[in-house]
Amino acid sequence: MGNLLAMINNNRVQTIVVPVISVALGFLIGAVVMLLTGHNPLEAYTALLKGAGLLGDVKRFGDTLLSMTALILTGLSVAFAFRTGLFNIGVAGQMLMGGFVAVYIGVKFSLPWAIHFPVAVIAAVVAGALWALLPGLLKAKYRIHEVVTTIMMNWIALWSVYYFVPTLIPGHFNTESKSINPTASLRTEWLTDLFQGSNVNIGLFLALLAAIIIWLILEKTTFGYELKAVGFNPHAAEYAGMKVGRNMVFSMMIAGALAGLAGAVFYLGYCSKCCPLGFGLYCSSVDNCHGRLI
Amino acid sequence: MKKFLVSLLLVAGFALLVTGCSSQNNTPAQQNGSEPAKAKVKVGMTTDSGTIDDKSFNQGTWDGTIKYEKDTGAIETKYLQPSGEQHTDYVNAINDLADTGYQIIVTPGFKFETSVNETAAKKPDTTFVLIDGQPHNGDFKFVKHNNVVSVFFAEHEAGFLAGVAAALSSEAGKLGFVGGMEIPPVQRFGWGYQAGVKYANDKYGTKANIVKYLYQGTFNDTAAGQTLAAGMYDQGVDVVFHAAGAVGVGVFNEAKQRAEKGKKVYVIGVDVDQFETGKISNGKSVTLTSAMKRIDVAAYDYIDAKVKGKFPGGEVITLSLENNGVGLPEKNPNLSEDTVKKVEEVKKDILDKKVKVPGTQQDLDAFLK
Repeated sequence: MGNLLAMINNNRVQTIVVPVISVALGFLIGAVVMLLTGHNPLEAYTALLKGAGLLGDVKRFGDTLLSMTALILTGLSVAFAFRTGLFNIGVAGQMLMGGFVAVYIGVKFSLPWAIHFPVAVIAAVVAGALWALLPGLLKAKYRIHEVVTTIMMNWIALWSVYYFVPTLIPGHFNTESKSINPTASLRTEWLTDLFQGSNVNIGLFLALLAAIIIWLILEKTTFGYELKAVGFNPHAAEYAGMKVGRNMVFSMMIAGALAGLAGAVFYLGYCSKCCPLGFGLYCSSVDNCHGRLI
Repeated sequence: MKKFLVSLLLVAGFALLVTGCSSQNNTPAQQNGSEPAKAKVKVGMTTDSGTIDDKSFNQGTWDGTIKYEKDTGAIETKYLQPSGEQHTDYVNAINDLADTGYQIIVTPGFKFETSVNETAAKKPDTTFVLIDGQPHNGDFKFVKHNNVVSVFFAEHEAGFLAGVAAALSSEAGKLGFVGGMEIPPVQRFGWGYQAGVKYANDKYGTKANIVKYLYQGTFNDTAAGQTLAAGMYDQGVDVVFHAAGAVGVGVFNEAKQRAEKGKKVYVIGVDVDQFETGKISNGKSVTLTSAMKRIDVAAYDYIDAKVKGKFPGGEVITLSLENNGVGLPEKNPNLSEDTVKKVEEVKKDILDKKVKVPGTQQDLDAFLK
């Protein structure tokens, strides 16, 4: 028993065991709910695995990777801010602004593919970072809590995009923008062929790359160490001679940049070739989730 | 240890949320595990933006589908709510149904035009009932698929009758119109409404005018709908016709608030009979009448056609007053007997082709001259 407890308390083991157990518990509780409401959980979970392409359907597996792409980045954005002691609720807004800028560049410019999509992606990253700058500054200078300011920024983003899409890049209906030029799309033929028609795209690699870079920054650099130190204990960090305010602003901006990248991969990759910037659901559903968290 | 447990529980909670959502979206399996009879046709429906209980488009389609199931027992039904409103989300939802043996898929709304176009080509054995839309590839060059029937409605005829009823009922003689997105079905409601008001003025000597005619631009901004309605009622308008989905809910909210204070204001509902939506605390309703399009009838009829092997694949069909596809509700408690009688007269005029209801802007301009 003591042995087992020691094992559970071991950090390394925990990082693996905790997610596995929690997912298993999730399935279990889900099954109970389904049983109570008169549905067959086995059938449901088979459909779930089948739908996700884990039982051999290549296109569906590609679609799962596709859905995963934006989620990796938004998750990374929240996680990064957490690690540095910030609660970034503004991912929805930063993502939307990133996506808007990416689509704007995708619609308004015509450049060769090798330049067009990188420009759009980089601009989205910058837009996301800038959208997070203000909450970062307010936190650093005046200790205004980022939960409040980032939620406000979400609404500013939502209504700005509502206004700017029909005025700057109007599409066929006024709830969507014009289609992006194909040169701005993150989709490639070889990936679509490889996954038998799924729209999984370069965004997936960008997301994985971002995850590695963030890990490197946090674990292998002095800069990352400082960011974490400020998160753990700003007073101790200050006492140790770190610039607390500056680090807070940087943390927010990096989290915002990740969210901006999420916007780019969502609107340049997930949407079909006519890429409407439908601003209802994705953004508002993220908002709603956050609403519930608070 | 305590921290470990807490975090474990938290993560488990989230995992539950996630699995909860996705299993709902991915289990188009028959309910109760009961063995279905072999001959049963599986009919699936995907929801448009909004939920299955939206008291409008989705609900109407679903009502028609389950009514067929109850009436005949020849089908089993399931609906899926796509995980988002992008083309990809719609395609995935349709594929989920088609890949689990759903032979007929009903898709309500023009937003499905591109996704049905894509999936109909890849799944020739699946039949599609596309309501209010016609398949195309994003360029509005319509494509004919032999496994798709496109169903449209003569919304202008319903709007026409609503216009007549509004003109006859308005005491102030000032009318309003709130549209959602400026798309053909909504525009047709509006054109018919304008023509109906003019027709009533000419025929029955009413002096009604549409003083405010606005498109809000979305189907979901309830708050904006309320603001628009408030502006209209402030100007002395007493009947507002909305063809605006959830924006219209805002119009209803404003009218109900005013009616609670004893003001005499009305709303004309859309798509389905919205009498219940307009009810206030004293049991009365602000719903004057509703310009209905029988989405449920469309779903019912074309499921029936497929089941009986008479599916009009590749055709584009318009349902009108003539085949009961559009019209006003049977009961309109807020219309006077005289008004009801006159609306019936006008309906007969349309059916007898004594009047041609304008269905385009050009026809309307000519009609108003």
